[in-house]
Amino acid sequence: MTMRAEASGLTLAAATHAHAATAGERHIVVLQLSAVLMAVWGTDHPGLQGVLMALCAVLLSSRRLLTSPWPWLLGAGVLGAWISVNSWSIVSQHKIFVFEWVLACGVTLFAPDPERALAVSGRFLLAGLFGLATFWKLAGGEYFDGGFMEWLLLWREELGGILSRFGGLDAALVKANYDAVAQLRSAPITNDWVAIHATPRIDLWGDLLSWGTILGEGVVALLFLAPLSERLRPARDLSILGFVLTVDVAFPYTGFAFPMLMAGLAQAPQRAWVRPVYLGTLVVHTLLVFLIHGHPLGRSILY
Amino acid sequence: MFSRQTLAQLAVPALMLVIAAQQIVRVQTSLLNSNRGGGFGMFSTIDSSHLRFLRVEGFDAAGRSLGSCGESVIPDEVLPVLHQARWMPDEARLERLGRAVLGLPVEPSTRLERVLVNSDAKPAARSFDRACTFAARPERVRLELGSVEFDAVNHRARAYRVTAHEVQR
Repeated sequence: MTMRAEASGLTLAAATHAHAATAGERHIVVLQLSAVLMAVWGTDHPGLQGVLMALCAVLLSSRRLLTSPWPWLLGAGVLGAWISVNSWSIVSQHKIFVFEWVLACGVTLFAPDPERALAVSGRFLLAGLFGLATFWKLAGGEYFDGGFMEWLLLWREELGGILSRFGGLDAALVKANYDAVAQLRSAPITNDWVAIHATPRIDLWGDLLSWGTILGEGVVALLFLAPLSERLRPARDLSILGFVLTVDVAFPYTGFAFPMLMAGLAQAPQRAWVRPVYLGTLVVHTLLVFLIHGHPLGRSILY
Repeated sequence: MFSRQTLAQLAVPALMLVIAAQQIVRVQTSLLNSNRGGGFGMFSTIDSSHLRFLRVEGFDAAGRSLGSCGESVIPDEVLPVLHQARWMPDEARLERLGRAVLGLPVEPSTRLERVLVNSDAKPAARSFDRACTFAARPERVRLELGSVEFDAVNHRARAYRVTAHEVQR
């Protein structure tokens, strides 16, 4: 009985130790990948990118520096200065999200339990990101009648082939739409309406995609915001991984998937499957974006 | 009041909300486009920089029109300003563009700006535009920043003016 208790005590201790080691390792992996993220997607400025590359190399070469808040605050300072000088009004949203994530990596290292702090930060940053995205889609009003997504289908030349095949719109009419918009943008402004060709099937697609986007992003926001039981928490991971592998593959917004996956990985439960699944998603996302859009980093389809 | 743990883990999400709140206010009170400014309003409106365009009409001293051109009249050195003006067409940016078109000295950027601003402005920013010149040297230019609106119910689109600004030589 005693031996049994001792054995189970040892097993428990070993399991606890293994769990702690795994947990610490994941925090390190998140920080290492975030250092790469900062260097690759933090800024478009070649000079500053060189500085961030050097900082990334330093962080990757020393675990002591990687887990010190100061290099991260330096990186966030560089990104913040670049955004400020370029103007917060102009810089792409994903650059601001990368800045916020790098800052979170640094600030949470001041916490007594930095891994847990980064997990909480990651969770609420994702809740904020998806909550704000849903807010603007509702506030803008262009999703209610399916107009935004219908326009995206009709206007983007990349989607022309899909439009003809699945939307039932003749290729000549697809081109007539492009020409009409080009004419509107090159002629003096008259406020006159011009006809845009569509089909009932494209209307339906516009409605489905619009409401699907609002519903999907709203659900992701709620999952990250709501306090979930341990059993339901993987729903957060499924939602973010699903979003990255579907919406962000179809409409890649350059460099957004990487920080979303980092924040997702940081907040995910301590399970053996988590790290390979998140890292695998990063690889699969990059491959899919390359195969579909011809660019490994993805291109902003609208901006 | 708050533990160090709480402060460290909530500081940046709180900062995100502050940035987003100021963006929401600025979109309502200025010409800032909801796609920019840190409020994560991307994909919320078709009114994006790809659809926005600039028309520049020149006038002679007597006020006669010398023709209307697109973005090809904007000198290369102020292309970053054109790109910025598409997202945030405030008076200062349109003034700089107008002065550049008139060949007047443009207010120099700060040293820090010259070092750090590489801009997202690419030559592709001039898409949908043909080379265009005015009939004579203009004394005054009127800049109109336009965008395109889509009526999904009636399947029609139109260009509309977002803002306008005049610059005198």
